[in-house]
Order: sequence, then structure tokens, then C-alpha cells
Amino acid sequence: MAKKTVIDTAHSKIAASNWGIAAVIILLLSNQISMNYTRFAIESAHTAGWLLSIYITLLAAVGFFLISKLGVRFPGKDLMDICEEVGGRVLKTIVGIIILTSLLFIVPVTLRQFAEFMKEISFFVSPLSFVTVFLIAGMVAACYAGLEPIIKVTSVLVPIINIVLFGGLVSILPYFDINRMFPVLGKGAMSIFIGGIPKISVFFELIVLLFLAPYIKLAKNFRKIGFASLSFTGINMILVSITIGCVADYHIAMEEFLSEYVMARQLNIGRFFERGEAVFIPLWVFSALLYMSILFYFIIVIFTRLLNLPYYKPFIFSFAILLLNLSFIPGGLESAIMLDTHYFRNTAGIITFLIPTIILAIAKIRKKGLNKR
Amino acid sequence: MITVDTIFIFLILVWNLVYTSSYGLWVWKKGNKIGAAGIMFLVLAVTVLPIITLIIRR
Repeated sequence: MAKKTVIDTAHSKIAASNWGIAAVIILLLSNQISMNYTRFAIESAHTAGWLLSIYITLLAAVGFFLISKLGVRFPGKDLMDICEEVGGRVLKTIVGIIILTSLLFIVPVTLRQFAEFMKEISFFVSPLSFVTVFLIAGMVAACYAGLEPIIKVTSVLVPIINIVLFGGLVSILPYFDINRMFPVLGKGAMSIFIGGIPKISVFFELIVLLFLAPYIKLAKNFRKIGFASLSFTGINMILVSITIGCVADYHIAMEEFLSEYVMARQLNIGRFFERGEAVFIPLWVFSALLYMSILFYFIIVIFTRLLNLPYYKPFIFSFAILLLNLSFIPGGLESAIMLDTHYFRNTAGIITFLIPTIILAIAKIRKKGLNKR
Repeated sequence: MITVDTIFIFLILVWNLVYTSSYGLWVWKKGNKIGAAGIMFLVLAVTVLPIITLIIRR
């Protein structure tokens, strides 16, 4: 996965390694873990949060397998190009608007949650608007730098984040109580296996891979990157769910907002290592900033692609103002979390998995029909 | 009451309005009328939304 590819797209020429693209997807998918995922999983399945994590990871893998299998016929094309080829400008516009709307929903909601978390942890006195503007400034700077530096920074940061996360999980082992994992099926098989299906929306950010496809030289690499990112994130989700589930009672874990942060605060090894959050917070801020920057970049790129515009940079400032204002719409942290976990993370799977699968299936049927004639 | 931060926000909005709509005009002149209309819609949203937010917050 180390081979470099340089592909000229309609808008930019970037050099990205397969690892870089995989790192971007891992970062996007893993962001949920440090925000609300464990609470979300425990709320949905109680003591079986880990089982739900396995189940939705498998569902996402099946969904991605279908997309990659059907998408083999469109090498070097992203989702918008495929839509244009299948259903003309109308389909491209409809799909573009759906994806743009979903991104314009989740980025401000995440921004608000993150700003509120930051305020709760570090900036007790600062006004919320100050914290939000500070984050937006980072996103704007990243967008002006472009996709290539973002990918490079992400590929360096992802291993560090995961080493720290794994270290945190290992060092919290003394607090483990395996009995907390029982009953194994938690809220019940129905809640996990039927109620868990919409939870596949946790992997919404995988949609970005469909826009990064032109930067991946070979179709088999696209599949490799997708599966590697999904399995890596899935394993992380399972490990964190097991850890939080075994360290705290599920009804206590349901009340925690930032499970990883709380976990990091628990760290206390002998007399020499304590307050693990000192390492956790900077990494967490950086990874969340990158998460929002990447999605922010794709908001602007999709907008320019929709309207056939040659440059994306003139819109950075406009979208920054728009996102800033949209982030103030939720009434508070609770309602932002509610919008994210209760609404978005139960429906967005349709956009990531169902819509691309339907479009690619139509393309396949059409091609078969043309070949027969 | 008009405060310094309100004036600052207003100036940013005006600057953004001029900057983005000039790009919209350029796109219009290039013949991409749908693109220009989309940009103008964005400009409108970006200008109106902060004003509404400011009014609501007061």
C-alpha cells in the first residue's frame, strides 16, 4: 500500500499514497469513537455494545463489498461522475444535493458538540463562539492548504492516535470486571440484530472514499483500502466497547459523554503516571479538527462539482460562515448529541450504502442490456 | 445597540458578499448560468443567516 499515484482530476492534481487515503478514512470513521460511539452502542445494546459493534462492522463490510464489486466497472471515477454517466445531470444533481445536505448537517452538529466538549474540558470561561471560531479557522487553513497536505498530516497522525488509544486501553486493564459483560445479549437479540441495522450509519463517512476513488490507481486497491479502514475501525470500536463495558456499569456508561476522555482520566499507574488526558486532549483536538477539515473540504468540492465550477477556494470563506451559523442552531450540547446519535446515525447509512449500491446496480443492468443488443 | 463586534461581523459579511458575488458574476460571464445562480443562492444564505442569528441571539 505504499505505491504513490499521481492522478489528474478535473480540479486538482494530488499525490497520495494508498496508506494516506486509508488513514483519511480511518480518521473519519474513528472520530465517532472519541465522541459518542460507546455511549451510543451501550444505549442501543446495553452490555452487548461490543456485539453490536461486531454486527454493524460486518454489515458495513457487506455493504462496501457490494459497492466495490459493482464499482469495478468505473475505474478512476468518483460517485458524481458515475451518477452523471448513469442518469445524466439530473441524477448527479439529486445525489450531489443529498450528500451535500447530509454533510452540511453533520459537520455543524459535530462542530457544535466538539466546541461544547472543549468548553467543558478546557475553556470554562470563554464564550462558545470563540471556541467555534478558533476551530473554524483551523478548518479554513486546512482547506486553503488543499487535500494533499491534509492527507499527509492524517497519515502521520493516525498511527500516533491509535498507539495512544491502544496504550490507554491496555493501561486500564486493572479496572476490568468481566462480569459486566453479562448478559451477553444485553438488551436482547432483536435490539442488536434488527434494531442494529440502521446503526450502520456510524460508517457514514465511508462515502468520502467514493469521492477519493479517482486518486486510487487500481480497483483492487480501492477494495483493499475500504476493507482495511473498515476492519481497523471496527476492531477499535469493539475494543473500546469491551473496555468501557467492563470498566463501568452500562447504566453509568450511558451517562458519560466522552468515554475515552473519562477513561484517560482514570489512568493511574503507580506514583509516576497519572492524568493520561494530558496526552489525550491534544491528539483528540487535532484529530477532530482534521475530521471536520476533511468533510469541510468535501462540502466545498461537491458544491463546485454540482455547479461545474472550476475553483473551490473562493467558497471556503462563505462555507465557513455558513457552518459557523448552522452550528449555533442546536439549542445546546444535548440537542446536538440528539441530532447526531438519534437522527443522523440512524438514517445516514442509506446515503452511504443504499444509494451508491442502487446507482451502481442500475449501471450494471444498463451495461448488460447494451451488450445484449 | 450597535457594538464593535456587530460592526466587525457586518464588515466581514459585506466583504464576503462582494468577494463571492464577483466570482458569481465572472462565472455568469463565462456562460455557466446555473453555476452563477447557485453562487448567488449561497451568497444570499451566507448573508441572511448570520443576520437572523444575530437578531435571534439578542
